[in-house]
Amino acid sequence: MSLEQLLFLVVAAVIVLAALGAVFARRIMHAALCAVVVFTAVGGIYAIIGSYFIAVAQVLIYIGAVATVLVFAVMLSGQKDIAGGSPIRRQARWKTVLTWAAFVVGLVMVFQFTLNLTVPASGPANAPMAAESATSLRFLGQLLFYDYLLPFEVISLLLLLVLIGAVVIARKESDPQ
Amino acid sequence: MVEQLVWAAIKFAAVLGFMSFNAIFLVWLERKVAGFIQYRYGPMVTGKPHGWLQTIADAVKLLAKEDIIPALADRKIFILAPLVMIVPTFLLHIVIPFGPNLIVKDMEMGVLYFFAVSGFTTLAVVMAGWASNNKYSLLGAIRAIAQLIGYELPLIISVAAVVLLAGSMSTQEIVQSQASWPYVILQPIGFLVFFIAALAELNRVPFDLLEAESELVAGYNTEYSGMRWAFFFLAEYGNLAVMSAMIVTLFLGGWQGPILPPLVWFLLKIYLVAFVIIWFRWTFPRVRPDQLSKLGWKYLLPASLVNLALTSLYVVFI
Amino acid sequence: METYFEVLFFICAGLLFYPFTMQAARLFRPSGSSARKLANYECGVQPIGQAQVQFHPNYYLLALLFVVLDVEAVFLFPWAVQLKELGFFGLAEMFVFLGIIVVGLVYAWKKKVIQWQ
Repeated sequence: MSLEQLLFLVVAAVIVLAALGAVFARRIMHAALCAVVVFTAVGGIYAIIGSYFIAVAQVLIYIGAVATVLVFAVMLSGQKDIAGGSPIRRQARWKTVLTWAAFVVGLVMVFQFTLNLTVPASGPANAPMAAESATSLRFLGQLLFYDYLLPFEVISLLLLLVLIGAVVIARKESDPQ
Repeated sequence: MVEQLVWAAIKFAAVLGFMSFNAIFLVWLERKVAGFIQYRYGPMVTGKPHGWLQTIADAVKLLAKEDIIPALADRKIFILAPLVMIVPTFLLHIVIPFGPNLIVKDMEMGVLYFFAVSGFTTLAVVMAGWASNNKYSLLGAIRAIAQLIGYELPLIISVAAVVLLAGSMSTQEIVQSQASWPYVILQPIGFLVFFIAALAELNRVPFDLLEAESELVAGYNTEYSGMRWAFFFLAEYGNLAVMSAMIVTLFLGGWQGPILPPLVWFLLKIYLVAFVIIWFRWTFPRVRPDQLSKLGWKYLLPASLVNLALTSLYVVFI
Repeated sequence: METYFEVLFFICAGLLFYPFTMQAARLFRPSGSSARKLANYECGVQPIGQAQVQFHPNYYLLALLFVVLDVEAVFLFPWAVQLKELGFFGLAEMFVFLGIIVVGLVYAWKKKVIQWQ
């Protein structure tokens, strides 16, 4: 096992544990901070596969903006801890088990499907080369500003929609004043 | 592998030394500058010429302080917050070019990496402020978010203009591209926006609302004492030095300069910028939260966007 | 691996530095607190209630705006690095991109979102 694989396993374990922490934490703030750990560790995964720009962008957006606003949102909400265990535990046991089973089966099926899709296309032999070219910022810029120009411009439209949507939805309650 | 590890350890030790020196020297400088600006001496007794041992004595005192975690605090987050503060400070030093070959690691994404990592600082402040379960701390944390929201964007966009001119995000290449003219001359608006936004990012006067001592006791770190507080302090002055270094790298020509060796030039420029930032603290009054938000969104953000547009026109047509 | 070895090392060393120093300081510091010492600071009086209350700051819309614009700002960087090669074409691209965003910004400004209430 190479060092890279070891690193991947460690980071993946951190992601899984932190994700579980986010789901089962009793205090909302702890759950939010577990989510922040997940964001950071996902950036680590990008760095391990050599997509440095994506890794840096992940940290910049998710830690610099999303995480802080997430914590902010938690402050906005009431600080009541989840009393008497998480709501999952209060539901009937069999329902919970069934839901989880369905979820896990669905997840496995998704994995199976995507693995079938991608493995023949770019086998492990091609992987190192793809990783190397993806590392380069110039290659990324080439893709973004020539090959995928339309999607790139559509992103700005999407962002505009998000912006206007946020204003329209959140503005309503403060209109009366 | 072993060699690589040893080198990394040496680099880490060097960064740790630089940070400790900054914490000790800059605090002393801050006190002396404050003293002279207010027509008094500042520390004089501990250490003979001008009390130079004072901050070292303070560090020893902090080491021997009791470790107090308030009973009402959220223990886990309270303990973790200094960690979230200090680790990014170490990481920020990685891309600072002290000389032509004197850099921990020159990255292709250098500048963007720098501002991505510095995002953790606000998170740490918010964690500390919330975990303390103290009203002043919480208000400090809320103000930290307001500050981030208002100033992160002008900061990043004015950096993008510099990247446009240099055609690279690597800190080393940005310095090299300033061989003839430092970017402060080509980018006066960008420099001004960046400098103001950097003050806000550092939470320095006039943007020190989150630890405004006259209203919030000590803001987000009111409940911290002893070594845990020392970590915030170390990170704060480490960030001050590292942000000064970034200003020097992006706008003031980095390590370039005649006659003197590059490292000397770089350190001279860093401490000059740090001195100006300290000078501001004893000269300007603090802004109000509404002024803070207005300045960031209505003046700095449009200014940085106009600057970016002008710079891109310059790059393409001239 | 080569590229981020130092970053990885600094993360690990930084993560160890804090607990290590706290443990080392234990040798020098006294321990054992009283309930008084562990109380929160509220200018000398007994703290009243919890601080972790629900509150309603008036700039949450600005926070949403900030997230959107931060995403947009990241796209500036690969473009800025390449503009010299992209030339006029790249310039037009980004002006369209930023133009659309600025429309949103002006909209928010007109709706008085960018205002401290």
